[in-house]
Amino acid sequence: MRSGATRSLPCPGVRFEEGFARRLEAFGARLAAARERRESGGAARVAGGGTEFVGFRPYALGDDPRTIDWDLVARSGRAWVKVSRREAGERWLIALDTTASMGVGPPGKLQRAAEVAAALASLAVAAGARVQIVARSREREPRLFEVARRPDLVLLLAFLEELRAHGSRPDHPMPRVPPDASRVFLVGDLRDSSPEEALALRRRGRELALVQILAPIEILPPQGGAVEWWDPEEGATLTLEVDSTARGAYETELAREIELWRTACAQRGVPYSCSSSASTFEEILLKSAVA
Amino acid sequence: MSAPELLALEWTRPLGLLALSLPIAVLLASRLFERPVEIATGTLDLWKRVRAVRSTDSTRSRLRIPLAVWLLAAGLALGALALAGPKLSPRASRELRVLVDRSPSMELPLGAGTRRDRAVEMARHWIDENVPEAPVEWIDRRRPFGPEDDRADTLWVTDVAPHPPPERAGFVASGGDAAPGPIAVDGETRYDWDGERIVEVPNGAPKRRVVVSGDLPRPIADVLAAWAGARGAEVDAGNEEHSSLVVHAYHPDPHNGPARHVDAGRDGWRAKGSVLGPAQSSFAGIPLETWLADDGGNAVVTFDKGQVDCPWIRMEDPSGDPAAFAVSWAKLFDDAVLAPPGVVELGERRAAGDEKIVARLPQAGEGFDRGSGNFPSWLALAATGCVLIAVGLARFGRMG
Repeated sequence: MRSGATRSLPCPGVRFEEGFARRLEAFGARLAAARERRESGGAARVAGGGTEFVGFRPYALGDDPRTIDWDLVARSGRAWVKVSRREAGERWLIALDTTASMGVGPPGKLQRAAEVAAALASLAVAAGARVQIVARSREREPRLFEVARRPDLVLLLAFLEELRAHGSRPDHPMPRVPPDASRVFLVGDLRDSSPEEALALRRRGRELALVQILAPIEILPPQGGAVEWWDPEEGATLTLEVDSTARGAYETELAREIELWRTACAQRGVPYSCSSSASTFEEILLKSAVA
Repeated sequence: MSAPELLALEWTRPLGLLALSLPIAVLLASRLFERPVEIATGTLDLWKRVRAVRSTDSTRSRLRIPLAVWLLAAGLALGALALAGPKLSPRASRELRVLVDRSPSMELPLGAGTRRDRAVEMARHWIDENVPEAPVEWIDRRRPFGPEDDRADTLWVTDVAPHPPPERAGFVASGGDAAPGPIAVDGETRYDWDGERIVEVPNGAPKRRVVVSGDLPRPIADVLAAWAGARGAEVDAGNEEHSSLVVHAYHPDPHNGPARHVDAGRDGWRAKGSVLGPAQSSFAGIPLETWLADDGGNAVVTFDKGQVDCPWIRMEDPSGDPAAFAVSWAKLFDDAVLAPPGVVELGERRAAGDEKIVARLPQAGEGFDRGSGNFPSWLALAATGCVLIAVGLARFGRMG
């Protein structure tokens, strides 16, 4: 029996299609429009910006031109942008799971998670926040990337494309969260942690959101014949006849686990969603109520 | 050399059966080389729980041969059978009809028994040698063999080799030497043949008896009486034993059922009357031949050697030529009356020639050899269908 390490993952890497950056901008614009409609009468989302004005800062390349205060420009001759209370000094953390299980697919979970992370980073930049993306797995030191301005997004995409699903569950599955991080996003399959471990990141002044992504074959296994399931992180295998009975039992177990996460998160007021990697990042974020 | 037989089939290309090893090899290879599909998953722990719930301790599943492989094997097997060229064995498909000649000459002595004994023995030997497994129907034939008996599934059993011989049926002839003896009776005078001359023997024959049970209608009874007188026979209603002819007639009786009106005729006469149902079709297991039927085809007089069944209980005077009525019924009585014991026609007593057997197994296409020629075509068609379905399943199915 071969070990999982000697087998190759079906979808280990990340590759952004041409025009992906435009998709990010379009998604951001779509959410901004929706936010304007909401904030005229409702609460802001986790990844949305607030409207409480707290001051100005110099315009930097990449800032949303709509935040420019034209009166101040006329008076000062310089471009200044408005800063809201929520945006001022916000620091986001996006923890991206890059363990070997994220290489399961197609479509690859890491691919979709990277897209979600890129979209969250784009939203952060649009909201004036600084965002740190940390990619974690056991065999490697966490890889970090900071995004502060819109031009950084191009470099972020390049960073994400260098990621590979590899390695097993880290000894400490939860990332080290900077003390000033006001929002934390866990993006991955959440197979390496428990709800309690993840929800421990939630505290006063810090919002947490969990975006779980599973491969289609993990949500709805194919039926018929013998299958040797192998765990790419531990190398363990299990051969099973996937008939209708086995498939039904698996779906029951998965539904039970998802319900555990959903209940635990709901009790703590933490947005949680479980999506298929076959969904687009837009669908995943809209479903997650994060955006 | 005939084609070898297997499973009651003949195989014109038996080496084709070696191709049956192909489907066996395919099935064995499928079992040997089949591997379960390998799928990476991050939810192996869930599958472990599934296995535990199903109480399956072994980590190995029952590897099953995919349906596509089974169909491929079936197609190869059918193709191998088609290649071997099967056809129904004539031996397996033939039901043999054996017609035994029961003419008087068959009862003439031959060796320790009779000509009939010898002919039947010859027939049984041929059957045991050639078609031991074939179902055989033995039929007594009291009338001469006719064209309708010349069938590929028929064997004639007789004493004299038929001339001309049958074209399709086979025959066995016992042969036999000439058997001098009584050849005719006229009243109480017997005529014998001594091998060369016919000798008249006055008072050499007892009076023949004609027994009539029941009441014959008057027109028939009158003809019977006249005929018996001319033939030197007595007509009575006594015991049927030692009689030369029994005429079964009936009484109008509620136990015999209601009578029905009938209008029937033949040989230039016609008569109306009443009958008690149809005439019997057999008597003591011996089939009776229809002599007279009504317009609806219902037999109203039947007969065989020694028997006449006449359910008429009333008959009006026949119309047509009165002489025709008398001649017609007299001929019936002549055909039906038994010859006195030991009396055999001269022609029957003459030598029957030598033993002879002319019999053969039917060839393909001779009537009852049932359509074996299409076997390879149907097998090939079925084989093609199986293979095409297997290819379709393998190409478009999820597994196998």
